Amino acid sequence: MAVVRMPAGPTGSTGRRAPKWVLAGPAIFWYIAFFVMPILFILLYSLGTKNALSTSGVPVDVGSLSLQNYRDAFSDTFFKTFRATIRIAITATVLCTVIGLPVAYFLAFKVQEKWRAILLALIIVPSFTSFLIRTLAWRIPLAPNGTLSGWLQDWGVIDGPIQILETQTAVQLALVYNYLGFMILPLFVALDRIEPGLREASKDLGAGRVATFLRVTFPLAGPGIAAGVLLTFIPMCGDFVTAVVLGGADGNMVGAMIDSQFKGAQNWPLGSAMAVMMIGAVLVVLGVGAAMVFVIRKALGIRRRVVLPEVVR
Amino acid sequence: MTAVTAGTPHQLKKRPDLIRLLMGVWTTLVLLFMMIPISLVVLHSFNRGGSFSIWSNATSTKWWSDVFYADETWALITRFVVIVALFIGIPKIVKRSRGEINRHIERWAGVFGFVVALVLNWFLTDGYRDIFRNVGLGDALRNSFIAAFGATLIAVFIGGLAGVGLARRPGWWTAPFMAVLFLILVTPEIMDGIALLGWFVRIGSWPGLGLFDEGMVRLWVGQSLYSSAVVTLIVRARLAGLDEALEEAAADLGAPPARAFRQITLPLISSALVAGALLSFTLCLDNTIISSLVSTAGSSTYPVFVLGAIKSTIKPSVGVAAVVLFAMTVAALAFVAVVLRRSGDSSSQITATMTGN
Repeated sequence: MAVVRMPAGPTGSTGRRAPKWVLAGPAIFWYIAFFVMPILFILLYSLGTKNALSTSGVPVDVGSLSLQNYRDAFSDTFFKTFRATIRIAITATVLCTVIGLPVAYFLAFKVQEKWRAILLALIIVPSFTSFLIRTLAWRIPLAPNGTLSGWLQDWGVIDGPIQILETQTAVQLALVYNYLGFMILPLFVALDRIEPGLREASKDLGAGRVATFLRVTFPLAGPGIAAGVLLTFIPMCGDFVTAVVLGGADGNMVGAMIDSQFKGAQNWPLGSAMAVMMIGAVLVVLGVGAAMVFVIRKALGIRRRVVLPEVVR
Repeated sequence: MTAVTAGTPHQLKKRPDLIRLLMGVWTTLVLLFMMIPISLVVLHSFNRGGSFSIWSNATSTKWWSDVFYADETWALITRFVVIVALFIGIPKIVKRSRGEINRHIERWAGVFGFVVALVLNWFLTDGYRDIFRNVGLGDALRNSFIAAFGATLIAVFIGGLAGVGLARRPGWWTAPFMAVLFLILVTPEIMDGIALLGWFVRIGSWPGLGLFDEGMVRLWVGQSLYSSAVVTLIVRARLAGLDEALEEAAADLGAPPARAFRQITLPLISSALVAGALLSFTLCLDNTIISSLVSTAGSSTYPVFVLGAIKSTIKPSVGVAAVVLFAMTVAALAFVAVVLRRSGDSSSQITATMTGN
């Protein structure tokens, strides 16, 4: 019965049909085997204890489970880095939105179609260029004895060499740079999908530019902003490439600490606990953000509610 | 009154649009900001000095010849150009002399020629080893390509099927499947990386699963997760915009499902599959975090190699390899744009596809 032959003829659908999910079968198998299961095991490891001589090959003992790793993870160093990471990621997300929104708006509404394709290409190409290369590239302008540093000193802008490399500022700058495209593009897609008629109607009804933007365009761009925030904030929190390449000891981030627990220190349970806490923190921040948006919308909605006069019959 | 609907609403305005001007200036500045660091990498690959980050005020191609053997590389490029040109040109000549030619042959001949050149060059240059003078960097680049290629094959296979399933056979499974897909897209890479590392170490010791101790197999699996999700979404979006009538007609006319799939569905999604495959390839090429966690000593890809060398002085040869990868990415993206445009997408729709919307 491996091959189900459909009877020929106009009523071809009477044969036994395979289950509906069968086409996604390989994907379902793949994601359970290499996404769901591995992450469930990380949850398990985060409750275990370190054991370099474990027989399973994984240096974790899961005989007696406890929350000790989570308590250890709240150590001073980790907590400081944790807070710094979240702060840097939130700042970078906000900066990406503020920098990216005018660009997306310009591309969606203010530019001719032939130019739009070129400008979009100029944003897409750097965004899809190797992340590591883009990060590494910042070592050139930020080099203390590099060309830019020399120019700035000659012009008297700064007294000594640029001292940004190996600091949090460098990480902050490179994060904005690395993720800006992934904010602009979803914003553009959302703005581009707004029916032109809606904005025109707003103008025809007497709304000025600012009012049209604030009360029609911006609310309709909501899904794009949400997509942009998801595409930038979450990977920023787990990013360690930027921190390793530009941050030095001062600009450490959680991702780098987790990485070192798995590679250097070989304390997998602690690293797992840190990763789980990172995901938890990301969810909390996103939840708080969503709640704030919801409350603001509700409040504005009540204030701006249009009460239609009762029709007199 | 008809002018109101036909013309643009801005026609009546005479005063210059200051806001538009400011936004244009801002956009230009942002584009410069995005382009300058990458341009600097290209420039510094021609640095005469020995450092990647300090410019020596003189250009030289010595770091290019440090990475590549010039003769072998030019021979390789020539073979690529000639073979692809032949494959594109011959159908055109046939078409001119005979008046017509199979549309599919005409459409995909260039791609087929590229694959032929790829395979031929593999055999002529000992798997592309012969073109590299710098063995470490050469192996890293080779590994990057082999890893990205394998992961893309997996991604196109499972993602293409899943995309068709989502668009054509939705059911109770759709919601949980989309939820997992969403999680794959948003989970920080570091989480996937450590989870897969632990998993490979564990299952590698199980009987019959020793292949998961192989660095390359690990890279294929690790890189295929995100990219297969991207392919799934692209294929699903493409099919969702197409009427199912053609496939139903094929079934009504008695075509078995496999044949209907091969002759109707597959041609419909071919442009989506090509676009998905190339996007997946570029994503895999620069995958850094998962790759650095799961790869083993012999299978370091280019990003893993650079990340490992970060503590020592970085040479301009790293920039040379970066420029090569950059050129590949640009070529792949341009090809995606061409394929999608040929299937009737506007630049806005192409952007939406590339960002997974």
